[in-house]
Amino acid sequence: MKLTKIKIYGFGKWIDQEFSINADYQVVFGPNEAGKTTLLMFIKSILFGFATNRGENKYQQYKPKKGTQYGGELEFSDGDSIWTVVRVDGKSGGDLTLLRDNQQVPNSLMSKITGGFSKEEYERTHVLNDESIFSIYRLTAEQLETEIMSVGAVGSKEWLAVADDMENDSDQLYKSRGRKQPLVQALDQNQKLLKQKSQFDNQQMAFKDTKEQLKALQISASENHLQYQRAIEEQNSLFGLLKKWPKYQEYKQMAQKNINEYNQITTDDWEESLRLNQELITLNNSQQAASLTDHEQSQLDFYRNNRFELDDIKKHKNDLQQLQFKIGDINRSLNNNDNQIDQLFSQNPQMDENMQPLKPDEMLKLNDASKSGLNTPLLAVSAVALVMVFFMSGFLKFAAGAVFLVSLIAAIYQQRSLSNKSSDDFLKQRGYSGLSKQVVKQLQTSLVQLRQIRESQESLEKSLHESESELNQWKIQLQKFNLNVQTDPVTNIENYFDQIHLIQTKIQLINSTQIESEHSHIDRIEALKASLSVILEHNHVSTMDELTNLHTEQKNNRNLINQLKADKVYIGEDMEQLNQFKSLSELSDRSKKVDEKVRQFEQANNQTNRQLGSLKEKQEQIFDDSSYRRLISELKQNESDLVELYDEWLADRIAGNWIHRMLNLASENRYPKMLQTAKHYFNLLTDGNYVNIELNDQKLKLVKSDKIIFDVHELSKATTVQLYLSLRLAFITEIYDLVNLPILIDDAFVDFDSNRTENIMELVKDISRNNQIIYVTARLTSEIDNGHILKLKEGNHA
Amino acid sequence: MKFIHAADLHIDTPFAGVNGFSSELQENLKKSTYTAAKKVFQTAIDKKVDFIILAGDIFDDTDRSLEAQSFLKDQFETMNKYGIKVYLVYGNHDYYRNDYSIIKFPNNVTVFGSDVTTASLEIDNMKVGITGFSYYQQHVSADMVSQYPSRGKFDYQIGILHAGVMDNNYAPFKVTDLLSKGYDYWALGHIHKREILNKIPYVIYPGDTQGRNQNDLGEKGFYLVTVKDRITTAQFIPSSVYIWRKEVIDAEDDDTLDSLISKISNILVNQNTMTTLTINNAQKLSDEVVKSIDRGEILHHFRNNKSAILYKIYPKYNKDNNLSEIDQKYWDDSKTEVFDLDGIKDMDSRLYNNEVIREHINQTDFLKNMKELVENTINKKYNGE
Repeated sequence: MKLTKIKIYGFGKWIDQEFSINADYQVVFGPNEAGKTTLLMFIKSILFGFATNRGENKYQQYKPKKGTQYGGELEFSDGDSIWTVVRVDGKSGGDLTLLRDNQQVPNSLMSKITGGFSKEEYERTHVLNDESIFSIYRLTAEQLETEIMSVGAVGSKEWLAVADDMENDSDQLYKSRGRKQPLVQALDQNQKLLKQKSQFDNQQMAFKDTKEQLKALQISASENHLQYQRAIEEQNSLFGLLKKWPKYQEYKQMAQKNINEYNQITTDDWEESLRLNQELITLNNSQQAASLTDHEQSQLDFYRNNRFELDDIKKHKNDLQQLQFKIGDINRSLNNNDNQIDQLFSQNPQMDENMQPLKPDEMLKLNDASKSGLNTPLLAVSAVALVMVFFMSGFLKFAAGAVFLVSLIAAIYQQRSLSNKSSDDFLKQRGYSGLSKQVVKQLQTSLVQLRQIRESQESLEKSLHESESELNQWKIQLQKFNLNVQTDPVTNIENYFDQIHLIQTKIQLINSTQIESEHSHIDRIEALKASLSVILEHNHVSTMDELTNLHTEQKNNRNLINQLKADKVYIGEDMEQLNQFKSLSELSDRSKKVDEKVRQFEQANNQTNRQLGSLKEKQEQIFDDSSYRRLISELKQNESDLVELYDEWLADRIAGNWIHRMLNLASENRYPKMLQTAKHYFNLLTDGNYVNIELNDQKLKLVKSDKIIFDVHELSKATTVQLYLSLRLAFITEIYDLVNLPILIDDAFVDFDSNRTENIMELVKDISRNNQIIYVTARLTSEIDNGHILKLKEGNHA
Repeated sequence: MKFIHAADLHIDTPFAGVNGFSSELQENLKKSTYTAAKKVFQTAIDKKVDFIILAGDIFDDTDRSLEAQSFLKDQFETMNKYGIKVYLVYGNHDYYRNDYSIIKFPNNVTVFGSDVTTASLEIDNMKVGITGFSYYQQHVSADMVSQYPSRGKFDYQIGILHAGVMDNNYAPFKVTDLLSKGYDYWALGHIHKREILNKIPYVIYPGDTQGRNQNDLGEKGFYLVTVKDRITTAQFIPSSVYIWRKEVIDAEDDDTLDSLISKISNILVNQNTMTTLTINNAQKLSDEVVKSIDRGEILHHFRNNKSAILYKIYPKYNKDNNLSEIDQKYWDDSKTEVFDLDGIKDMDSRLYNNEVIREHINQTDFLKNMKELVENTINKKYNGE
């Protein structure tokens, strides 16, 4: 269609202006700032819409400064009808009204005029100005050649730029030998994650393996613990043995003395022999010593004065002895108990004197606290495992059993620490501050034992106290009669009464001597001697001195035997064990060895416990599996990234390819016809220098007037640009039947010399046979028919 | 008689593209396949069903499904307590392997083997037969349906089948093949989109119980089937924790970041949804707004949404003003040559060697999607930059 009339309501400098336009070509002449470019902008704006007030566009706005209406009309003719395009200010590009022969028609019919072109496409094909020509100049030879080869499509230059951009974008995402591009990194990450995934054992196998390991370790742990317990027992027993060693030594030494307990001299025999002997002595000395010495008399007087008490003492002599034994016994028992207490404390290092055994209700409280807040998940696992024990067979049954135990123990273990806080208070009152519930429970047996020993200690001490005070009363009593010798009051009493007995015998003798006649003395002595010798013979001795010695010896023996008995009771059942050691050093060596053993077992115990802990943790990890699931999650993310990046990369690559392919295809199809036209234009523009353009093997060959053929890259820059222009104009001519819009040329050839500019006018006339041309210039260099010139002055507008 | 027909529980499915969201949402998504499965079993109890049919792909990943197995076993045991039986087949995802299942299911569970077999039970004096088979490898190309026996001496017979219609990798079948067996109900699995292929008798894909990605759209669930007086009714019960949705808004010339956000807010109203949003006519948006979208600023704005989640945004760039219509012929003519699958595969061996990418390329819709993407890319570049 041909533009026939321009009617401006208000556009930039132009207000209320009307121009008629020639249907073939129209030269618009005017000095700078005359509004030539604004006029061209007006044509574009009415056709395709006003520039919006956004971004860079806002500088292309031509809203009039005064109150006039923004916009105007363009009138086109298609030979039959007059088309009027009216555009005024409005939303997004302005309000468009389309009239055909003054009848409004749908706006969609605009494509009859524009051929479906967008503003950009129009600018890229039909508009030639300084900018578009210079941008061609700025291209490298190579770019220019590509540009020339793809000129057969609309906006090829821009399309090529887009394709370049796409290729750039795709290179940013991925290069086949790249390292840092995101898609390359995603690929690397994918490899890394897959490797990690393969490193995770099959979960189920791993679970099975760990369970077996755990079971084996648990067996060895319990064996170890048993050995440890045994060693502790041995350690304790050796500790006891060490304590008893001094007494044992004493016992052994005493036991070596050959003590003969047989043939005891009976008390009767002894007293009788003393009496007989005394009588004999008295009788033998009757003449000289028929009277008591003063000492004897005073002793006898003392006895007679205190006869009642002294006899009482004699009567209770055995009681006194018993009392002494009893005190000895009690002291030994006390000693024994002390040892037991020491052992209890050494077995339970956490035990403290202040701790009191818990009462049954307190124990309940302890257990109650344990029940609240049970670890359900763990118990659930244990329950599951327990069920599995019933449902599964063979090894699995064992495995499940193990899980059940482990989880149950773990639950209890956790529980213990949980419930600590809740029952802290009464535990503190009971003297257990800072101890775990488990330990508190373990201590109970020992604490009860301790309490029992303490109670027995108390009663023993009480009874010791009573016995001692009883003994003291005895001692006071004895003191009164000067009988109390610290070491052995019983012997003392015996000696005293032996003496009294002697004195009494002597008195009897003196009395009887006084009564009986002298001759009876001899008979009496004989009788006494006979009686005495019976006693001596009976005791296997020959003299009274021997008998006295024997008696003394026997008395000593009796003491020794008592001591031995006491020692034996003290050593008790340990005797056999003590017998196994030759010396104290052997015993203490043994003890040291056992101490070392205990330490070793302790270490081994700790180590297996640590191993158990880490294995259980591993097992929980396998079951809980969070790290594997994290990996799977990461992999999923990575796969989604890979696909997304790949799509983006491929879209860029394909888009680039597609543009190139489309441009080539368009050129291939349009070139043969275009070249015919372009050859003529090129000839004109080069002032006849070039006579032909040939297409060989997708390459353009330029034939000079002297028949010499050039490649595109052999041409000068200026000639190349002329070739480009020729092709572009040929392209416009080529698509003339699809798009028939006026070609707008805005001083595009100012740098061409005037000769060439004249040639251009030739060109313009030539092209305008088909395509309407509006040529805007500030120079008029050749004669142009005045009817084709529209002269603008600065005063023309407003 | 009542039973539940569920399939494709895909327990333990991981989700991609959620790293930017709150840890609570991530956690909920991670648990969603479990939560949906729980809904199936809870419904079985509440509705006092006689048995449950699980038609394959119960686990998402067989290599390491210990947690999922343990979970399922617990659920099965609960069913056992309530006297509910379970009939399950393994599908292409959880196909049976030798070292499979260290955890044994209780005896109310019937797992079908690799050969087609029929289990029978009696309910309400009705003799019920259930026929099915499990996958023992990832792909089953054999015509398994021909191995299903014709209706036996049962009052009611059900076929369980994990397969795709005419899909050679997954026990290919035609609906008419199924109908010719004379069964009363076909419990299908494998296809995640819910579909009733036939009504009398029912041939039903219940779909998955929880949508697994942005393309797995809509409410998901399972069927509660009631048989009364010989008449079968099937009721859909929803179970998805989050529902994946696709929404489209149109961009206008004068849209700003704020106006777009307010348009999107109007769409994000449904609770427990994950929305993939297409912004149509994105070419109308200003460069600044486009850059903001590309930088993820809009996604970020809705990041803390608790229930109506904006998952992804796809700006769609359309052709403006019949762009280059005169060259359309050449665009079209070169299209076939450019969108050549073999050419794409040959484009870069390193990329094609990656399994994820290779599988992606070999998907049926790949070229179609790629065409859309390329056109979108070109439109965006050509219009905007």
